[in-house]
Amino acid sequence: MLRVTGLSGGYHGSAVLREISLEVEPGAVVAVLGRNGMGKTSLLKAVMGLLPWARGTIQVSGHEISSLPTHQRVRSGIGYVPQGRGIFPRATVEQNLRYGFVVAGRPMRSALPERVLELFPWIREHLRQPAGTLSGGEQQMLAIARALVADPPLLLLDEPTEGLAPAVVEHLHAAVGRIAGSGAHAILLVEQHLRFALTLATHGYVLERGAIVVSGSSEELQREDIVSRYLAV
Amino acid sequence: MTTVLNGLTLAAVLSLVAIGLAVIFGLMRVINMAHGEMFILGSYTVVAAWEATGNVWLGIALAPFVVGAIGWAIERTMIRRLSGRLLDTLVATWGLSIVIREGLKVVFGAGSRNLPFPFTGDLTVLGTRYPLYRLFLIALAVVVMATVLWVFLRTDFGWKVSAVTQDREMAMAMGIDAGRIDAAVFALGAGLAGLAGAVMTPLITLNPEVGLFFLARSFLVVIVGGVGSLLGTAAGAGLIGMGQAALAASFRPVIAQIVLLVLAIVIIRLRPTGLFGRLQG
Repeated sequence: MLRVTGLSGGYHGSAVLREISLEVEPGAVVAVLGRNGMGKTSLLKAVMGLLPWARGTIQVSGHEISSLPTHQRVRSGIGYVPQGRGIFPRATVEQNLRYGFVVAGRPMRSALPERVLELFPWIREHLRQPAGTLSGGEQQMLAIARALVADPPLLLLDEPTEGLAPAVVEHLHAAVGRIAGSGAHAILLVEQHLRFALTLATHGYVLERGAIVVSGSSEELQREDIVSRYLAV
Repeated sequence: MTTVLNGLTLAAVLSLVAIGLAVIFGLMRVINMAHGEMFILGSYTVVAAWEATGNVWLGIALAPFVVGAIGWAIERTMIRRLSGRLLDTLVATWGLSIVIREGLKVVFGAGSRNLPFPFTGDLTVLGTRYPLYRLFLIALAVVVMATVLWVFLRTDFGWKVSAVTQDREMAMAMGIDAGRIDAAVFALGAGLAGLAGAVMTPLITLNPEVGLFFLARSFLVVIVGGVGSLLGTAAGAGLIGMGQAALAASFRPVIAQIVLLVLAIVIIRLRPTGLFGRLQG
């Protein structure tokens, strides 16, 4: 589904990603773990073409996308939920969802897909509300719903639990679990919340200073020595 | 009554010029100092068409497209390379405005000229006889502004502009070609200013310097109306246009200018984000 090989990248004059290679199988959930500032968000940005510079190869469904601009990369089938959610605050909840049609080349006035509304039933009652007035958890779910409108085979989630209350995190966990369970979307999940990530993912990679230092199954990544060395805060 | 209609005429023209300035700033954080020259290029499109064919209408019809194409080219060749650098774009567009002004002097001469009205005649409106052409101008501006508002608020294109304005990276991540949106909006803004210049041609004593007057007034409109608000731009144009006409009817021009600027400063002091401005910048 997603195959990244030898990916380096960063900002002006500095590299924050070093020779990263990873793979996500169709329908699989793969976690990217690591402490703050280790390059997790930059990794997703590099896949999206939102870093000032990057080199290496990025293949989505067999298409090489690393030379394309961002708006064309997503057409290969990527749904992106950035850190901070990336909701358009002045647009309504409904409008935010409708932006999801752009990538599919469909008119924004198309009928909203039922599968998305069923995933988050509360959205139906809040369609006319300005998205900026939603709670953090609601904005997170809206961002995920919006990314799913075009039914992308690959979903990139950047720290979805950031800043959310434990009860909301549980709710989100169930929702991401349902998305993963449908088998229609592979998910690359960047998280600091270990239990959240490793109960959803089957595999994971650990980033330290922009490089992958450990990779393995979720069980392996929960070993005491790995957690204390690379992940414990 | 004549004063009100004069105010409406000015407001109509200002709204056409200011809307481009406002939308371009909101979308790209570019203060286009050459926007007055887009107006004047519209006027000279009419001059060129008139000198070639003797037809004023032809120039008015062509102006928005000619100037829109020029705006598109400016965005593609210059603005794009300076994106995100407010001061650099300010200086660059200011330089461009000088180039355009002096270029027009080379091509058309520095002297002033007056063009005939495409039609004459008066109409009695609410007990006042008023030139038909000015009424046409007001009606045209209302129709064009309504269309522009519809485009920005109700079409996919307008929604995409709004997305790029709110969060450029996320808009691109939703599959929106932000660069194309920039070029299209810059062309649209320039085209509207060009249309304003074209329809104003018979009403003004045209020379390459008059763009500055409309640029300065448009800045006032955008600031008073509230940066980044379409409705505010329309309201600001109404206020500045009416204010200017009312003051011009009662005072000498210089005094009227001073009073208008003082009023604008008072409004901004009382409402720093403008009449319709949003509190979060």
